[in-house]
Amino acid sequence: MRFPSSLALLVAFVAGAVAAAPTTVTVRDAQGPLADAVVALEPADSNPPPVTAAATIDQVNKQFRPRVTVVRTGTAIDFPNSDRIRHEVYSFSKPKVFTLKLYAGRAAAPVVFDRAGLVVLGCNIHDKMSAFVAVVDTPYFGKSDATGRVTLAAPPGKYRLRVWHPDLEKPVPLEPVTIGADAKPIEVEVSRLATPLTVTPWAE
Amino acid sequence: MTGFSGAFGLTLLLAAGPSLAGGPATLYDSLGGAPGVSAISAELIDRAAADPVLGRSFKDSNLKRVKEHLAEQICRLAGGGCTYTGDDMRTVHAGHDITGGEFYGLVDMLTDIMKEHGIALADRNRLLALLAPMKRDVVRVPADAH
Repeated sequence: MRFPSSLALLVAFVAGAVAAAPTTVTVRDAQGPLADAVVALEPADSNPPPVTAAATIDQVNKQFRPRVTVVRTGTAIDFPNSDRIRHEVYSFSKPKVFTLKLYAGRAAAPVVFDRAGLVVLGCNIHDKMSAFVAVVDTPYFGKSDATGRVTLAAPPGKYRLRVWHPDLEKPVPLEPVTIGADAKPIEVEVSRLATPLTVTPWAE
Repeated sequence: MTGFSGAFGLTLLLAAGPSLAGGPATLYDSLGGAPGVSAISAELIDRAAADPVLGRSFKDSNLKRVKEHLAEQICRLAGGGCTYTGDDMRTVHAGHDITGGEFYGLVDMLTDIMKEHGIALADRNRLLALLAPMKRDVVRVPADAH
């Protein structure tokens, strides 16, 4: 079963919105606000300086936590294991292929995600475990909250807007946007599958 | 496991006899070789995963992988020449809090399955004798034991 099949990408610069940086992006689907959507503003020409950052994906009750993670290229992600049993995290995705054995009470070396793209994680021991790492080449990224909102402190300039969620009917094409001094809010409408058979591909 | 010693002696006599292949038959051959051991392993894991008591240790697990590693393990122990590629038994069972009752429950299931496959008593006992020492690495292994 699917939601309405027409994929509507709507990048609407809402008229008369309060002018204030940073930029707010709201992601919705037919059901309302969409949480856990990856949103990134990728600079069209400039190349912002790299930042050193860290992130964590925990193993809790045979589930990855969180399910969706977005990081900047070059970020080291730590994989602790809060379960009493072992896990074996793997990725066959091009941007980062790896296998990482996780034992209870023993820290494993963090994994550096050095290429942009989508990385799908699984566990060799528990085949229902799955999670996603969206690696983006920009410091202006976030994950939508329960209200579908992400706030990005991108300075005025030209960008490509990237929106991704694991359950979309099809990838949201990259959308050129210009952020002005007034940082108008952006709204995005996507179409999601209730029971997705595959993971939404990464827009290139 | 002293109860198996009589059966074990009998098996040695049988194994010393001529085999169709010309060489001495291994326990692996007696278990049906690769197809036999694969089938026994798969049936054991399916049965354990569906069991109301033992099933908890297999919940959400990749059963295909468990079956493959069990078949490798049996092949290695039974003289089939396989290399076991999984983690050691202690690491595999750490944190699962497996009871002695659950361990023997699995032994009973394996015995039943081998009977269903027409494996002779002596050969059943040979395999059980090879697996029995693993009990200390399976039952009540602390989560951080590896």
